[in-house]
Formats: sequence, structure tokens, C-alpha cells
Amino acid sequence: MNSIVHRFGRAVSSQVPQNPQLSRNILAAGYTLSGWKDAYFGGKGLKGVYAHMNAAISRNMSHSFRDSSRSAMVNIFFPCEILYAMDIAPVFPEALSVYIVNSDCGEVFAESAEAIGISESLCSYHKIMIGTARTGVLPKPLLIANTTLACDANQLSFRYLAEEYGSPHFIVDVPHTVNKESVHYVASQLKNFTVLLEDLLHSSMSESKLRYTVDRANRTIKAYREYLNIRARTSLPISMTGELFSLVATHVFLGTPESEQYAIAIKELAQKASPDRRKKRILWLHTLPNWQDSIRVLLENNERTEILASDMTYDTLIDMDPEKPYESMAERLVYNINNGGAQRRIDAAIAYAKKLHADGVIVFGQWGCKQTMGMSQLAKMALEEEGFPTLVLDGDGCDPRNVADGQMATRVNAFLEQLEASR
Amino acid sequence: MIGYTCKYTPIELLYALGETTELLNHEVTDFEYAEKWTHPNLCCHAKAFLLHSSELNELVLINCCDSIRRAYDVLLAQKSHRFLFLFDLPHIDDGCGQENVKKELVRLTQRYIEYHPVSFDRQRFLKACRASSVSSFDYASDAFFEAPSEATSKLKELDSAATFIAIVGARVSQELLSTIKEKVPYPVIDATCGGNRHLGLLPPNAENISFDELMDWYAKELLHFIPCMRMANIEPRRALWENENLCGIIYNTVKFCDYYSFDYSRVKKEASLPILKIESDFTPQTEGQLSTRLEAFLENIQARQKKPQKPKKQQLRHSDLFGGIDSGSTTTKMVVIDRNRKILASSLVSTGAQTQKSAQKALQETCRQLDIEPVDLASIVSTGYGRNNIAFATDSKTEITCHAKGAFFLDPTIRTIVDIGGQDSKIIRIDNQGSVVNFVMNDKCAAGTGRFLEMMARALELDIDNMVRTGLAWKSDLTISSMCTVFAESEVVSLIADNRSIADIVHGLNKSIASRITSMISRAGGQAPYMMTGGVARNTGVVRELEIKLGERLIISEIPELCGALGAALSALELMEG
Repeated sequence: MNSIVHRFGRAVSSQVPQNPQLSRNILAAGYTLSGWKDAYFGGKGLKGVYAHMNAAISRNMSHSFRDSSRSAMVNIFFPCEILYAMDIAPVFPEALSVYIVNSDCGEVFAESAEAIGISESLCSYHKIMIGTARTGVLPKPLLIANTTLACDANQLSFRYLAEEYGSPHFIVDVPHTVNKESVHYVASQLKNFTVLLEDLLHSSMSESKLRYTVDRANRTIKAYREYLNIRARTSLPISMTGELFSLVATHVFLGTPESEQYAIAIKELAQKASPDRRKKRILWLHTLPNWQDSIRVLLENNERTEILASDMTYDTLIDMDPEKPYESMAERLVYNINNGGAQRRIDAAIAYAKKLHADGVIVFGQWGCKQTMGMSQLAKMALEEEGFPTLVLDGDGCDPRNVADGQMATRVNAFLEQLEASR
Repeated sequence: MIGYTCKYTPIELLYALGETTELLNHEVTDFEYAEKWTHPNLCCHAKAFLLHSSELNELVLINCCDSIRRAYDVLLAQKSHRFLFLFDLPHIDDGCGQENVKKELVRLTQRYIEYHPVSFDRQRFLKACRASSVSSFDYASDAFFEAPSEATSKLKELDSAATFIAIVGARVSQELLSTIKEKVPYPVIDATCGGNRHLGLLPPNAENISFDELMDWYAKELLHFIPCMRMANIEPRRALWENENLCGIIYNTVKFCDYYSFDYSRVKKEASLPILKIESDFTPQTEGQLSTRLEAFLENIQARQKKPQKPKKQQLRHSDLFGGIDSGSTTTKMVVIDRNRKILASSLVSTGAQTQKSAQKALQETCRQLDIEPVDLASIVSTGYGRNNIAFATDSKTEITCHAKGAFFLDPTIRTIVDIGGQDSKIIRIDNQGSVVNFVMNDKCAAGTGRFLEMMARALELDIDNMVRTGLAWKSDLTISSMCTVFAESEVVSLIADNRSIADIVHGLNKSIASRITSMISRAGGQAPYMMTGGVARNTGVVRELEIKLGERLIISEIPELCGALGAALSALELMEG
């Protein structure tokens, strides 16, 4: 992290206890500036594609801090097409916490959450989000909504936040059973969510706008799927931050013009790219610690290796039908590879490792994520049986306090040496 | 025999299918087996369950949390169980949720009958349901189903008890539950997510309605249990702490289970009862620390009930001198006071391997200073880890009570005591009468204790005194980010390898300890003025960082390490004054 970011982080952190409003203003101003810079001076090629996505997320972040009357706090899997059709902006822990930690001010928020007795082993993305709310830095949103898919932390954090803010809270219960009946059950809940939103906003949902948004989401999914198909035979210097952009584009931002532009742009770049046989190709499972310079040095922008994809970006790339918007959104939840048992996620990892011609797989054991850590050994056994050397790498995507940095770098380096030795 | 682990398991249905059931919530000595298949940071109950699950061939699990879902995935991959069923429990308890539960009940029945051709025995089902409707607490079991009259009388006795203690929160192991029941002189009920099952009354026509209708009723009843934290609507949980006969709550959390820390914060806010929080990890508990906590908790309950505990043994001796002895993990301290509460003598000796021996040494040293014989002391109260092993003590009190008493005596304005001892750290909040309002202790982890500093000093090849002096000369602000002692040690080693100055590293360690302690202070609801006690109060580096972090000055008496012994001596005087 450079000294300007460090100073920015200190300025935010120092004001949190006494003057959270000032911290909020500094953060909003910082993200507005960062968004503006990247929107107009983003550069070309992959750098430019990333810059545009960063500009969009920065605008979203800045909006969350400045004007929360039309924002909804949601989890990463929540189908936000409904929100966009009603002109509501989402706030979500993964982006919030990653941006906060990359602004070097995560600790003050994590500690604030722990101060009320929240378990130290809770997922750090959620912990930091709770801290921003508890300190009064993140203003009260219009409503809070989450799905129960994959992650227990959703149930806990969003309920806590709803109580803390006194905001309406809606839960979409996603059954573990993957079948059509579950899809109907989820679709009916999403319809009820729309009714709640209509009541809160005193306006009706425009069905045509929802169909339009879902249609755009569908085009984005198709473009991203094509990108992954092309990626199977090309090399692209994607970064850890870039994969997080892809995660946002294929989830919370799905249905926005920025997300569609991103998917099309990255597909076109992949089409122009050529293969690079020298590099070891890594498939990554789960989120990525993009704040960690020691790991970025090893996996980004070098001649030794490249990340192919994070499995969170392809967890639910299925077609959507604009004429059946609720059923389509429900299908994306129920048929998500994170639902219905670890084997579905492991099978998808094997399929993508084959399709993308991966040389090895890294399973990132995100601090607090029982889902990923719990399946890590099963995934390693299954992937290695299929011939993909696999590293289970424990770390934290947004809280350096839970990380043994030097040890992590040693493990990644040793894994790369292992892959290189098998050339 | 079918093993299960969640209270939502339809054990009455399994009983009707001719099966017996066993709740698998026993401790293990290590997690080697589970960690081979999963990950060290999976919930400790789920890891212990994985080992015990191999003792049975048939299991019914509920998809109650991430850890149990992953335990199921492991068992599925192992393919070693003849019957393995995952019940998909909804999070929502409305009509749709009930419909989904009913479908799962029917699916379980069909799957079981396919596996083991039996038929649903309605009479057994009704008998089990009646047994499960007799009490609001404790889980039903096959023994209860078989002898409902005995179970009913036992549970009615519990329900009508004048006062009782509830264990609330995450699953409590059978072993820990037994230990608590042994040590607590009140009826104890298990209201954690392993117990706390209660079915309503059967429908009047239960004998005649169809299986489908019976399952409709059963699904509704299962979803109407007092909910665990994974359910969407947790409001009915209030029933757990709003019972008028409840005199105290033992709140259990399990290492790497995140559900209940949220609930604990709420219970602490809403319940006006003494609450003891314990964190267990499904391995045998450290006897000493558990006893200290339970005794302090009971002292708190008794203080509220205004029923002073009688001394264990009354040995009236000399009328003017009173002794307090604090047997800590590192040092044993003794203080003698007179009737005017004036400190007349004190001693501090190393504890060593034998508590009794060091206590004798401290006693002799104090008596030597006053030129008296031990029998000249009217009464002696012991405190600290070794308090129950000191034969010459008249009575014993926990260090929570004694530190509070000692600190309040030294400065009645203080409201929070920060005690950093060799083996544990304590934050004690007191009111304007000096009574304990709340306290928090560190758990098994050594981070934030004197032991942490000792380990780090060893890594830096310094003794403690040198470490304190060196740390004051820091120049570059360095952060030791790891919270775990083991991680922190490896971080220190890396910093040494990076040629960072020892002074800066020590300063980083002081900040790390201050951060840990501040977090505990927040959890205890600490309020200024603060007094720091214990040997670490003499460590200027730690004190300074803690003051910066708190934004408050710490009051440190001239005898910070003797505070517990002083409180014990004051207790000895009160004992004689009645």
C-alpha cells in the first residue's frame, strides 16, 4: 500500500470514534475521486476495462456513504435485478470490506464489531460491514435483504444490521434441495420482496423495466460465459482485483449497463489475446486477498503464472428468461454451485479446471467461511485424483490480522515450484 | 440406533419407525480425525461429531449450519454409513415452511422404510409425542419415551423448582453439562440448541387422522420449538431468559461457531440476571478456570438473592489480624490487615510446581514480618487458581470478587478493573458499592496475558524487565497484526529476520496486547475510571499503549500485584464481622 492510501486510512480511522460523520465524508470523497479518476483517465486494454468497473463500484460506494435513502444492504447472492428495476442501489459486504481494507482503515471497523462480542471467527467481510454500521460511518439504508444461500453469516449479520438500524429486513429462504419445487418456493418469496419494496417506495414495479433488466443480465451472463470459453485457449494478465470485479459483474451488478459493458469488453480482450504456454494456469476457488502484496507479486502480471478464474464468478452462469424474471432469478439461486452440498461445487471446479486447461488449483480458505474451509480437503482429494495439484491456502480477503503473510507467500511459492517441477 | 445432533431432528418419528436415537454431543481429546477430512477452523462441535459419528451406522442430520452441512458432505464422501439422511429444514416458520418440513418428514419415512422395511407405528409415535410435550426444557430421549411417568415427574419437579439456572446458547457437551450440574447447587436445564425441545399437545383426534394430517401437525410443532439462531424469526427466544424462576444464565459458545456470539450480545442487553459466558471447544475443560468462573457466577447470584454464604469452616483465632492469600499461576501473594483495614504485612513468592508449598512459604514470610505465628490470624481467605488447595485457609473466594473488593478499597471511585495476570486476564466492572456488575475473562488463548509477553520475550531473547525498558525506546510505529499467540510469535521471528529494531517490535507487541484488552473491556461494558491490577500493571509500555487505546488514564496503586490478596484479606475480615 502506498503512503497516500496509508494517510487516507489514518485520516478515516482517527475520526471514527469521535466524528463518524467526518470519516463518512472522507470515505465518500475518496471514492468519488477514485471513481472520477478511473472513469476519465482509466487507460486502455485490460487496465481500462478494470478502471471502468472500478469507477462504477466507486460510484456505488460513494453513493452508499452519501445518500442511503435509496440503497439496500444485500448479500452477494441477492438478485439485484429487482432493485435496479426500482432504482435502488445495493450495498454489499464483499465490496464494502474490500474497498475499506484497500483504503487501509479496516482494523477500526473490525475491532468495533468485535467489541460487542461478535465472534472473532466470523467472516471478516461481514465483520467489517457490521463495524461500519456500528460506528455510524455507514448510514441507514432503505432496507436490508439477504438470501440464506451458502453462508450462515448472512443470517446473522443482516439480522443484526436490521436491528441496529431499525430497517425493514427481508429474508429469501433458499432450500438446500436443488429441484424445481425449490425454484417455485424461492420465486414466490422474490415476488413478496417486490411487494415490500413497492410498499416502502409507494410506487409500483414496472414489469417491463424488470424484464429489460433481466434481459440485460442474461446478455451479461452469455458474454461472460463466452469469455470463459475463449479463456480456455488464451492468456490474459488478469489481476486478483480484476477477478473481484468479475465477481461483482456476475452477481450484485448483474442487470446494470456497467456489468454488461464489462463482460463484453473482457470477452473482446480475450478474443484478441494469444496463448502463453510458459505460464502456469491457476484456477482459484473463493474470494481473493487482493490487498496482499506478497501474494499479488506471485500471481499477477508476471511470466510465471496467471489466474484463470475464481469459481465465484461462474457459480451460476445459467440462461435467464426475461418473460419469467422471478423464476429465472430463483433458478440462479437454487442451481448455484454453492447450494446443495459440496460435491456440486467440487464437480464444477473439476469441470472448469479441465475446460480452462488449469495446471493447478488454489482453494482459498477465507477466514470464517465454514463452507469453503469445510470442503477444502474434499476438494483437494477430488481435484488431485483428476490430476490437478491443489493447494489449500488459508487467509483473509480483508483482515490482515488473521493472516501469517510470510507463511502464506512461502506456501504459494512452493506450490508454484511444485507445478514448475512437473513441466 | 440412529445418531443425531440437532433438536429439530424428528426423533418421535424415528421412534415410531422402531428406532432408538442418540444425541451425539460428546467431547473428544483431539481433532486429528476431523481435521484430516475438513479444516481446523470448522466448528468444534461438528469436528467432535465427525469422530463420534463413526460409532454408529445410521445418522439423521439437519442442514442446521455450514459446519454440519460440511460434516454431512464428508460422511457422504466416506460412504461408510448404511443410512445417512440430511433433513432440509427451512429458515422460515410460516405455512410454506411447514409444508416443506412435512415433505421432508414424508421423504425421511419413505427413505427409512426402503432401507429397513418396517411400518409407521402410530401408537409409538403418539407415546413419544406425549412424552415430548411434558416439559418446556431438556431434550426428550428414548428413556423418556419408554418411561413417560418417571420422566414427567422429574421434569415437573424441575419446572416447579423455586429457582433454576439455564444453559443457553450453542450445544453443550454431555461432559460439560454434567460438570456444571455437579458444581452448581441449583437445578440446571439445557436450553441450548442440543436440548430445549417441546411439542405441543396432540390433536384430539390424533388416533384417527391420516398420516398426512398427523405429519401436518408434527411439522408445525417442530417449527414452533423455541428457535435456534439459524431460524429467521428469533423473537420467541426471549422465553429462554424471561422465565421468572430463572436465577442465572450460563451462556455457552462453541469455538468456531459464529451463531451465538450475536445472541449473547442481545441476552446480555436484555436479561437482568447474572450471566456467565463460557466458551467450550468440545475437549475437556480446564478445571481451574471453569471452577473460578462458576464460583464467581454463584457469588453474584447469591449476592443478588442477599443470602450470604456461610464460611466453610469457622476457626476463631486471634481477634485483630486477617489474612488474604492469592495463589496465582506464577506467583503467590499474601496480605495481612488489621481491624481498621490497614495493611500490616505482605509477601510475594514464586508459585512453582506445588501450590500448597508456596502458600506455606508466603504465610511464613508474612508471619515473620509481623513476628506472629500463623495461628494468630483470626481468619484467612484464599483466592486465585490454587485457592481450593490451601488447607490453612478458613474460606475461599474467587479472584473476581477479591480483585473487585481490593481495588474498590484502594480507590472507591473506580468502576472497571483491568487485571492482567500470568495465565489469564480479567475485566471486572463494579458499581458504586463495589459489587461486581459484569466480568469477562480470556479463554484458553494466551493472547493478552502475562504468558503472551513471556513467550514473546523468549522469542526476542530478552528478560521481561529488559523488554519493558527496550520497548520504551521505539522509533518506528510497527503493528503486530496477528491475534493468535502462535501467529504473533512467527510474525515476531519474521520481523527479526527483516532487521526491524527490537524496540519497535516490543512496542508492536504492547499495542497488540492493548488491542486485545480493549476489546475485552468493550465486551464487559467497561467504564472509566479504570484501575489496572496484576503484575503487568508494572509494565509501563503496555500501560501506556492501553491508555492511548482507551483514551483514559489507568489508576495503578502502589501494590498492583497484591490487589487480589488484599481483597481476600478484606473478605476474611468481613467473615469475622458477619
